[in-house]
Amino acid sequence: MKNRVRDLRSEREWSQADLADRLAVSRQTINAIETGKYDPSLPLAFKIAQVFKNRIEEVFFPEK
Amino acid sequence: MRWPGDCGQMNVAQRRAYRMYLWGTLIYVFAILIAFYLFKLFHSWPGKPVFMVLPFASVVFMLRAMMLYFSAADEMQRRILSESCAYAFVTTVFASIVCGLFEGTLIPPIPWYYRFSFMMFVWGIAVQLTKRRYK
Repeated sequence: MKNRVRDLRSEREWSQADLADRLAVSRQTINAIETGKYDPSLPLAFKIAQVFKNRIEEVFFPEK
Repeated sequence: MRWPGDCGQMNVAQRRAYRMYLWGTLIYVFAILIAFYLFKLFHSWPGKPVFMVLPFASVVFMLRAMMLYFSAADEMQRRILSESCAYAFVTTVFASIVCGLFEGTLIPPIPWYYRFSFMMFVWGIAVQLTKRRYK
């Protein structure tokens, strides 16, 4: 699964630690999601979309 | 400094639970020594096996620390911990089978309680290796 987490985070000038704090997860988890090494659970994916005020399909999408 | 079993950046609650676990381990070691001492001291008393139950008090403390650690971990950290636990379990099972095959040969048999220590050791390594997969 691909995602736009890094782009959305950079647009807001947030560090990985800032986003991690907002989502109550570790910075390593944010890094793993951004690099595509870890696919978040559905509740976390929704939470990420909510933090960025986007719909989930605008943040996460399947690899073609 | 990275401790064995550290699944990544630990938050405050995890650090507290980790310290609690280390204290539990220390208390466990002392409780075992005290239990052995009392066991020898009262060797003629028929109720002496009661002393060997003493260390279990610290095990309860350690289990509580583990529960706190797990509940404070995020979903990826939980995955790392559970994946590495599975690797450690399988490795220990196969190592035990290999040890069993060597029984009756010139190689002395390895006591079963070392296998649990081995499992803990492998788990510590497995956590570090699993963590790398998500970096």
